[in-house]
Amino acid sequence: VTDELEEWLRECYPKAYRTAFLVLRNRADAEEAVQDAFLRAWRSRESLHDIEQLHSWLYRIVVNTCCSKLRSELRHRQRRSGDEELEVVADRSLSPEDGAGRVETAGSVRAALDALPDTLRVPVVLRYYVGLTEQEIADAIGRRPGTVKSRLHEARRILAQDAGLYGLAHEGAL
Amino acid sequence: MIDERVLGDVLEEMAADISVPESGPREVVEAVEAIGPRGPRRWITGRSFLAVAAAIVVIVGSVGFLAARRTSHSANLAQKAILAPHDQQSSLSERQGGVTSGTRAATGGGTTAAGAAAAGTAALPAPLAPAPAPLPPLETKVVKTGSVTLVVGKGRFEATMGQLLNLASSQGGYAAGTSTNQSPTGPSGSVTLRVPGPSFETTLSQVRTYGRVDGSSTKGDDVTAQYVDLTARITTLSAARDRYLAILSTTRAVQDILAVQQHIDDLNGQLEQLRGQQRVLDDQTSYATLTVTFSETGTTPPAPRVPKPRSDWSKAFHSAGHRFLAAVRWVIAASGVVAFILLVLGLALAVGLLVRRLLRHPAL
Repeated sequence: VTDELEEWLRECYPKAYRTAFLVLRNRADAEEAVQDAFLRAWRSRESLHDIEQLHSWLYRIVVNTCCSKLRSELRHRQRRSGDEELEVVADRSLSPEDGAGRVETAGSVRAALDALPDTLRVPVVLRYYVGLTEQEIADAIGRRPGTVKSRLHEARRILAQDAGLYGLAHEGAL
Repeated sequence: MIDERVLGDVLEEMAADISVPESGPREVVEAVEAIGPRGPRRWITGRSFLAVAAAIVVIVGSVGFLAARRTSHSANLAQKAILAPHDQQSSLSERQGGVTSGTRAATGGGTTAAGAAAAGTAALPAPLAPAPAPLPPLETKVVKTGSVTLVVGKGRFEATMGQLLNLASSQGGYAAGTSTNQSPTGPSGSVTLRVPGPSFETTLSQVRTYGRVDGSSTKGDDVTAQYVDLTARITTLSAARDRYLAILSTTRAVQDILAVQQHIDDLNGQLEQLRGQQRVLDDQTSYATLTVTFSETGTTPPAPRVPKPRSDWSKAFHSAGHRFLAAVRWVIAASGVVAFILLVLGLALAVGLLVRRLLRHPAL
């Protein structure tokens, strides 16, 4: 193992892990996914021709690995819960009272994100944290760019209704 | 609605609070060291599996198709081998038919039949050779036709009509058709007599005595070669059918029985067709046809309707129609192969889609 791998890990592991955690919402799964992604990336490092693209290339592999893992988890969940509707949207009935105790922004955002269904949460994380384009997100989750766009819009609308983020919505642009 | 920039910032802020396991990078390094520089390599992926499955289906389908065609081709070859003598006999008969028309009186027909039979026997492949059936003795087959135009005396029209009908009966024949026409100048009509071939000349002579002959013509078409050809083909096909019947009696496998039965049905169909042609020739040569057109003196018979010769345009359209039908027949014949290829491709596509669906993860 070369220093090159350690350099990759030093530069990219934290964000890769946080991305995986935000997508998978489980520490063990996130660690496993990131490790798997780094292994895949290391094995196929010859395909990376432009070192300037290392970060985006690595994050794409992490995202794809997480999405694959999430998909298989969804499939298992489907099997367990029968015909549970995957497109279920999060509980939109959050009242201002529900989030009254959330004072920290990070906590509020995390709670609001957790309230989103996977179908909305994952595009939000990939778009606004990882910085992928709509096309890249569409490739990663196996949907059309138009679907990604509408999901992002829906997610932002729901997040704006969340009590903890209400102030952010009005502080930003309505 | 939350602004995108603001959302990005708060996500960044939130993510910063997520603690990163310190052991994570070390575990990655250990994992890389454990599996080696290249790691385990999956030698078959979902897409390649799909491609291999589709290729197998296409190959199996194609091989099946070729095998089916080969079997069919072999069966056709076997049938052709059995029927080979017929073809040779046919061509020989045709050649000899041409000679016979000019030299039959000198050489006699027996030579023709014997020659055809001998040639046919010599050409038979040994394993498939049916027992050479003796051809019937050759009999000259001539289709005799004639026409006479008579002018009978005033008031003799009905009497002449009766004489002609009686004549047909007396000669052992019959009137195949009559027609009369009443024009302002007088009656006219025609009778088509069918009389036995040997009585043709007698009948013709008798008819000429019924009035003044304005015109007459006779014609004899020698169809002996055609008749011999038909007889030979019938004999050969009958022999082939008998051989298939013998094979059928010893066949046990259902598939073989069906195949042999199919051949027998085909042969029976061909035999019936040939026998029909033979019956027509028998009828035409057994009975001569004499058409008598007659009218009373001073009657202007209606001009016979002469079919208008076809114009070039008409011929072109006629030819186009024939070719169109031929093209339709060709398309129908070729559609079997096309349908089979489409079936194989459809199966391959269905299998490929099924495999792909099984291998694909659900979209998020």
